[in-house]
Amino acid sequence: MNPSNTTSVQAAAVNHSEDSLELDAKLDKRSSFIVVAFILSGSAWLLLGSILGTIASFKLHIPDWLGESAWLSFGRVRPLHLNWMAYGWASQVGVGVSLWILSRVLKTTIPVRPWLFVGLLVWNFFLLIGGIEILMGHSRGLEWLELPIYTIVPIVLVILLAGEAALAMLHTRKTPHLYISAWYLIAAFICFPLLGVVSSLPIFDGTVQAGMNWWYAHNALGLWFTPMGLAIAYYLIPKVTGRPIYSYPLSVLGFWSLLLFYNWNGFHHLIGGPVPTWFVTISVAASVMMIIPVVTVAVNQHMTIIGSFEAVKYSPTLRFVVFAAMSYTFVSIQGSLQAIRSFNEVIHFTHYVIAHAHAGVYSFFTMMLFGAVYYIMPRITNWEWHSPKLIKLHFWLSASGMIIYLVGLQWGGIIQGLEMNNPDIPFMTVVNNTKKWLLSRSFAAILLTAGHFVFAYNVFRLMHLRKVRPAPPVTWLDIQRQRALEPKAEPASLGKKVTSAFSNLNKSFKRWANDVKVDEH
Amino acid sequence: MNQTPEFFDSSDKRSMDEIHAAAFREAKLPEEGAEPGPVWLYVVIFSTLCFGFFYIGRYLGEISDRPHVLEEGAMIVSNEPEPPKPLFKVGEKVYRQRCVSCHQENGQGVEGAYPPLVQSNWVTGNPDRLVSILLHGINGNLTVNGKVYNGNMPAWETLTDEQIAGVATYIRNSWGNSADTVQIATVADGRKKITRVAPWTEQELNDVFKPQLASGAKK
Repeated sequence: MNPSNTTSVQAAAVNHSEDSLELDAKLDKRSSFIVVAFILSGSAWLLLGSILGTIASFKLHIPDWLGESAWLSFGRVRPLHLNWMAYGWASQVGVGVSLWILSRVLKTTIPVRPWLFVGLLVWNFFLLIGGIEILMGHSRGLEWLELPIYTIVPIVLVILLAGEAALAMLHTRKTPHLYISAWYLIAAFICFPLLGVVSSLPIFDGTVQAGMNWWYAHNALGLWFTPMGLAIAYYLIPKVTGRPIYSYPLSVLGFWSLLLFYNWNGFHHLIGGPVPTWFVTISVAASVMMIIPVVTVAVNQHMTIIGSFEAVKYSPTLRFVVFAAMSYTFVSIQGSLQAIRSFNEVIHFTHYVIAHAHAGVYSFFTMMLFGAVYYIMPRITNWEWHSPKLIKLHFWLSASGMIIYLVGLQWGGIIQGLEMNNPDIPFMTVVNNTKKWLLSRSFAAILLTAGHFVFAYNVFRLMHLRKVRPAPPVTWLDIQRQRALEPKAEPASLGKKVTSAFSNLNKSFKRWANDVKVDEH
Repeated sequence: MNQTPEFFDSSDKRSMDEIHAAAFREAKLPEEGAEPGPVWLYVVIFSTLCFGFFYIGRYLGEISDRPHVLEEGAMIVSNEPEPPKPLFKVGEKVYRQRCVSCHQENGQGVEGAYPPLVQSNWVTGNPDRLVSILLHGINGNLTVNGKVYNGNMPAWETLTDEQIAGVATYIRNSWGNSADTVQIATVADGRKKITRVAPWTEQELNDVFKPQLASGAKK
């Protein structure tokens, strides 16, 4: 930043460095309105999507429930749940968080903010119209692409606008070095409009359309949500722990191998389908190749955070981010394995796959977004979260809900798959046997929805129920600063621990004895 | 001075103290390290690449006019005429698809409605009669082993001769039943000899067929 821009000598003195924290604070102030708008809007879609998801889950074991109304039949509620979660919650909050991180790492202001806000309104309008169309039964019948063309195209164009803003920030950046999060975010903003435009072209028919469908759906997760999620982790882990990213070369390796291999992954959904074998084989091989970026990223992030795990006690953000990063490794390795034909023959068309998809979009990406929102909101709104307890409650509702969801449906799904492959077991028996696992999923759905309402309440309270300013939290940074001032305690040996325990006991005994004497008098 | 246009916030009105406070709550983004990473990571990367190339080479399938065929062997087999399946296997498949819903998995039927196939002379007796029941169906009361059943059995004349012969063979040799195989020719004969539209009744069956094929009669 040019010092002549600043208004006072004092400020000029502070802004001597282009990556000073004061500059970050100023950038936060500028990005405040638009980022808050995206986060609030996305959170509203999260609540709607959760309710729809819960309804869909209950319908699987109470099929007649709400069955009289065609609008609320499973075939309409479930796709709407997916679309509102993917394009409402995940994409909107993802765009908001991404723009904020780009502003921070590129040290530049988010451009065209009024237009982005208009874009958000357009986005919400078409997502609502598209949702009503799906409930009326006018879905396109393609998974992840149920929204009618005329509603998905404007949404893609708004994301293209946000991508333009991202590229403009790359152009006007004030720092020569590109932090790894910027690589991922720019890639996400280039990839998604491409996916959206190509999938909307009227040139796909029959099996080719099935191929396009899964190319789109898998890449929406892999080249849109995944890079955003990893960018958040790469930014927030060093920010919270204060430790540098372990290795820039590994970050770059992970980035390019993700872009190289992910694009081929989608066709493993068509194993056993009427598509050429080489088409599926290459996709299965590419899915296994995903081990390369995943292990690279896992090593890089693990080596960054190792030694600072204690920080999760102090930072709710880090708690969410670590859960999400671990889930990323888990879900991706699982994905590589289940793409292999012999495994896929068992789990194809079972509830296992639904759990896998949720492990990707929820355990990984949504938890990452929660972490990011908890980090960003106090900085851009200049107000603290009111209740650390409610944040903790939200974390445990989401985490336990997700673990129950995954264990139940994946275990049940494998049983279901093995039973379906056994011709001696009648199909209805297989269906009835899944019921207890579906019940466990509905239980998980209630936990998750409750967690989302706690989250929404936290956000609402921070935005609108401001009375007394809450005290700033004790951050991991404070703890570290405090420890740096204290004389270094020697690592206590077992013997010392025992002696100190005894002396403490002795002291408390004396205190008690004194009290007794006092009583006697 | 090329300042970016502001949006809802023409200037930052916070005091320097506030900005300092916002800044003090976090550390600067530390500069990234440049570690080479552990050796095993490279071993994993190399092994994954090896597996990928192996998998593509092994399962590439045909890039030809039969691209859906996974393995070359499968293609050669499919060019040869298929060996005929034993009638019992054919019948088992037909039974699972068409018959289980009434006669049940174990062939015991449903009390009062669908007669059992187990230990029933209608099944193990005269094969011509069994074939004709399968082809034309049956209506009204039917007595099996002293119990009366009243259900409607549909006509299965749309099935092929092989399927009828198969399912007849299957039910004559399952659940402890044991009787001759019903030949495809028997079904073809039955189709030709008796042409009727209405389903059988018990009375009609008893008039037309003998309960057992007389021993020594042509098979």
